[in-house]
Amino acid sequence: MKLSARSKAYMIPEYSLTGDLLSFLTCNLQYRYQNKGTLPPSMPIQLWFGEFIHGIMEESYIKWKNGKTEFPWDWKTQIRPIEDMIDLRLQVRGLYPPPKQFYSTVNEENVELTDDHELIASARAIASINIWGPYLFPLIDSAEVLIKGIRDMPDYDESKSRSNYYGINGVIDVLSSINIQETQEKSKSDNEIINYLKENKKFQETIFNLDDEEYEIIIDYKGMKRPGLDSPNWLHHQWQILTYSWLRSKQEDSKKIIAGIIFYLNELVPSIPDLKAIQKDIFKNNTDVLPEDKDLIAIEEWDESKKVPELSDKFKMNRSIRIINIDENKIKTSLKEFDDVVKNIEKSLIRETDGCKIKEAWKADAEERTCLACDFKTFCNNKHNQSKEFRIP
Amino acid sequence: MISNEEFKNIIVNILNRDISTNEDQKEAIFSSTDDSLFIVAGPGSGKTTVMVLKILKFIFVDDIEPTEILSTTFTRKAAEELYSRVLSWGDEIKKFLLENNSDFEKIVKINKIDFNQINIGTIDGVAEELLRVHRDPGTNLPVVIETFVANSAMIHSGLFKNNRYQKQELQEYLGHYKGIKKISNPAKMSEAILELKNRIYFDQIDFNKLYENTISIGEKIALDAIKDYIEDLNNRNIIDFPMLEAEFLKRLKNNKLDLFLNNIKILLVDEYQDTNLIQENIYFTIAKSALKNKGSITVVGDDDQSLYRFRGATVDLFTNFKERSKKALNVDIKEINLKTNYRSTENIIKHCNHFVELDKKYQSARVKEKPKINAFNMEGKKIPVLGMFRHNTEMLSKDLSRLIKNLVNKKEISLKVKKVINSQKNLSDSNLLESRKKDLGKSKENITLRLDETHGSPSDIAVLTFSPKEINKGKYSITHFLRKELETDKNPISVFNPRGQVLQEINYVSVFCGLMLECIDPESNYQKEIKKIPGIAKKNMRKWREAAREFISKSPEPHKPVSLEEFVKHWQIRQPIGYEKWPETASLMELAYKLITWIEVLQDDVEGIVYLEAITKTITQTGFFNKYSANIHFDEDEKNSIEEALWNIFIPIAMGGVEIDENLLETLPQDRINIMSIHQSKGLEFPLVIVDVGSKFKNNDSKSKYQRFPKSKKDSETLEDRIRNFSSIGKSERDNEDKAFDDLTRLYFVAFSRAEDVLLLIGLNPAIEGYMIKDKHKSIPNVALGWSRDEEFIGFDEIYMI
Ligand code: SF4
Repeated sequence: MKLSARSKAYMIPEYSLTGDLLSFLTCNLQYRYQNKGTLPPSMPIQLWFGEFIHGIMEESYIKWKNGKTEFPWDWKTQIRPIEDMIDLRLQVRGLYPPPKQFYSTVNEENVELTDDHELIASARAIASINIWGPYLFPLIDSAEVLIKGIRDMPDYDESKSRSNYYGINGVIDVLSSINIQETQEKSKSDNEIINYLKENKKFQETIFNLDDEEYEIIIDYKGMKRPGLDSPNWLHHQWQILTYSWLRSKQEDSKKIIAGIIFYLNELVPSIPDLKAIQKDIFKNNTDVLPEDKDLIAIEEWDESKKVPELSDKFKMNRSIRIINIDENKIKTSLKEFDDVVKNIEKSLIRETDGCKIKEAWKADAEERTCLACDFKTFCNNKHNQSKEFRIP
Repeated sequence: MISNEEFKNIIVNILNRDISTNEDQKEAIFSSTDDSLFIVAGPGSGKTTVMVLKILKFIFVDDIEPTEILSTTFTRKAAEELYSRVLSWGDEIKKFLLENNSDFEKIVKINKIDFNQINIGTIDGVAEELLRVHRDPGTNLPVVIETFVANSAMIHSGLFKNNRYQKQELQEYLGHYKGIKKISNPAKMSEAILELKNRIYFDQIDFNKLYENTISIGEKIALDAIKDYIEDLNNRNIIDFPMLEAEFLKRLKNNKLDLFLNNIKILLVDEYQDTNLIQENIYFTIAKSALKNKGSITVVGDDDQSLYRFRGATVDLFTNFKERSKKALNVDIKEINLKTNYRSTENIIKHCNHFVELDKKYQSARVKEKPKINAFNMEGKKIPVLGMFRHNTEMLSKDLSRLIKNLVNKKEISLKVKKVINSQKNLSDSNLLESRKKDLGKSKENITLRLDETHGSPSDIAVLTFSPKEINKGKYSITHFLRKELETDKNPISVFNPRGQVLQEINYVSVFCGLMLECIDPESNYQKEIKKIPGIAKKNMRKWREAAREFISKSPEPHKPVSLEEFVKHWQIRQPIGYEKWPETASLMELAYKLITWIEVLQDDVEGIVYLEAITKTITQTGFFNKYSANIHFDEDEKNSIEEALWNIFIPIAMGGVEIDENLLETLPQDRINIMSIHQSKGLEFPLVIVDVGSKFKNNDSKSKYQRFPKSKKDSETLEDRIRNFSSIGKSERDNEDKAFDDLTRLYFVAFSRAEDVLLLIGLNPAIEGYMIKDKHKSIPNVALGWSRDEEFIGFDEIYMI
């Protein structure tokens, strides 16, 4: 008798847009170890701060909604408790703050906080809350909205593919037109975010041509500097917002989504490496937000040996906010891009379940910056890494 | 939106599910929104299909909103499967309706259905999410920790405090309930205390009352440890899973979740046979609202597949569901038996039916008047249940692996039937052997088997055993020999059995841990200063270091830019490369990753990575209770930071406190034979299932009894009894011995019913034939081979011995 072949359990693979798809784009092999597997980075600077600042924005919004506390908030009494809460939440998951960036009190009892404890992550939390909070929070209609959807599995092959669909998800904050109008009426539009939207021609055009009364804008935060125009991230972030808007549009309570906003929160308090990269982008004309006057001079005159100079709030805000316009064609393109990413992930995965060695099933290729911070550089097959120095410890 | 009839047509024609002949399934799917059901779903009866179609029917036919449905399952994996099915079939139906509809309003409505809004998950997942969404303004959300972290928190906050773990009374108290003299390994002690703590939550015990009525010093110490644990967690705003359920129930009862309750209409609970008292309370609280909102509660399960009593589950809550819900909710429940099995061949089903009914005393533990499982007609699949019994474990694994190898190499194998054994009633020990010999004459023609030529793979074969551990108390088990036989061949076949080896004894794990120890603490200088390290930990750490040194001496690749030997040397004398001076701190994780450079299995092999993940998880997740968070400091704190790492990371691993996360095992590779415990196999199915029913039993010794015939001393009290004295469930009418037999019966029922086409029982000859001692014939009573608990051998209808 012939045995039947084992039928697999039906499971639609679920991908997080940032946690999976963007990570895979960064490096396939690193994604396999870190995301699909659960090998934590030894120095999760980027990962930790990204999650930290997201948590800060969400929790401070909830706190604001609850008490309508006036801005600016005081660090020690009003912001620090939120920081502690997020720090704990991340530590429980095994994500520890880099000691040079954040002073953790999770395992300390009764510490008297001084200004010296306000390290860069806290400085960014303060700036994010106090600079954007007053404008952003009143516009938010719902926070931490989980958006999910399914799509046809690219190159579906019944005998090979894991499923005929794949799932995709993300988390966003949503701004509503009602809140925007109310705020506008109440305060005669001294809301900086509304001003930015007004200055955006494409946005105004869309509003003008809009059939519905109501619309939505979706929001995401990034714990990084504004990417240069030639950086893959610049494009990926646009795809991300476009895909999010597609996912959001499928939800029952959604209105037409006409724009997305990304806040690059490192721009509010850039670190030295951030500023170095910003400087490079500016010199190479590789960015859409250029400094003027004093800011220009300050940046031109700065070099790594010096402290980060004072830059104007306006300039920092300009660089921090990015409005992404939404249109159907662009959405299609970005969905197609992510379909391709999923196709490639699935391909590697199938190679692996077919018995291929992990390093052969997943390609090792990334930007030099990524490799430098990567834990797997001493044994991955990426040719560029072979002769890299081996540091001890 | 559409009629029942239309929906039925869609199921048959669009989803290609023929439910037309199965009245039970139809009844379950098409019951109305206010019909509360008790669905008894035998193995392979298509219960997921029923649940999914039921949900979709509510949405498409009854216009129930996705947000009004809550559906829970026992594991995350089952939840994902249910959810995936709802999404995909839901999408197909949606597409069909959109294409075949011209009514604009309907189209808009159909378009807006968002299946993602259905609340599907494990009860813990659902609780966590609902608490998050409906949190009180201005409050901090408690952070939920994994069981893994809870374990290290208990060691830290409960056991190390006041050196409780060294207390004789505590060690003996914990040992008593495990049937051994004492437990002295802190990792195991922590597990045992957590079990006590969890039972207190699950059975809804008044902690103070228990504390006041405590009977022994040991118990008091255990309760003190629990107190400290809870207090420590509370101070940090952390909760574990049982505490999460308690919190969830509290909030449901205190009207904090009314927004959710006022909206809920449909409550569907799967695997209800493994529910505990607190969960029943949660479900009944939600059901009360659902009923008020003109909805219903439906529970699905199978008492014969209840396997989690050891984790506090109470199967009576399932078997008595109708009465209990009548009492608590005043609702009449309709019972539906899904009795048609679509998984297995008729012979396998006959075997399962016979097995589950052969012990008279078991019948009273089952759902009343439970019908037999029906076979769904499968043409041409007529292989009888097979048996392979050999003289010793080596011979057995040799023959079994030959069979597997031939199959995997896509040969058609022809199995010679040596004899057929029948059900033997009323036989006394002495004539058993004789009658068995007579069976020899009845041998039939050969049986041929082969895998599917195109889609067949080694993963079609599974070996299920009571425990997949390859070595236990110094003795190798069948799983060890089998792995060896299969993997050392010209065409080796890989075995996937990550639970088979104890982490701390796997060679490359030893090397890896040993290398880390050698780097951070050369010559064990700091380790030696710690007086209280338990003996096993010391022994294993010494072995690791030896393994590491041996590995270094083999000079593994790569040699450039640094060799392993150089690397370890530099670490040991704290001489940097690439830095001007040795930094103040170094991360253990970074050290771990660098060491992997020389250990290829940990880079390239799926199983290797699963082990690596268990170790890195230990390094990172236990860190947050501690000062140095898995960093080594090189100033005045060097000693303390190394000690902390030893206590939190290396000693727990060395003592076997670190287990492989079951969730990591979910992507079973195609090219390997699966070896797993029967527990792990729950919910799975395989074309060829090999069940070990007696590879360990050479005689009727008392040590192996718990695995085959759990006769116990009548007066022994279990932890379950002890706790239930204080619970509203009260002590069960069934005594402990009966419950132990019930458990074993269910376990093997689950094992046998995993098989689709072929079921092969394996063991040693004495397990079947008995053995001689001083000229007297003895047999080995064994539930899995058809003994009733009265020590009567009943046996099976027909097993073809190969
Ligand atoms: S070193 Fe670079 S290429 Fe290699 S795994 Fe890391 S990120 Fe990928």
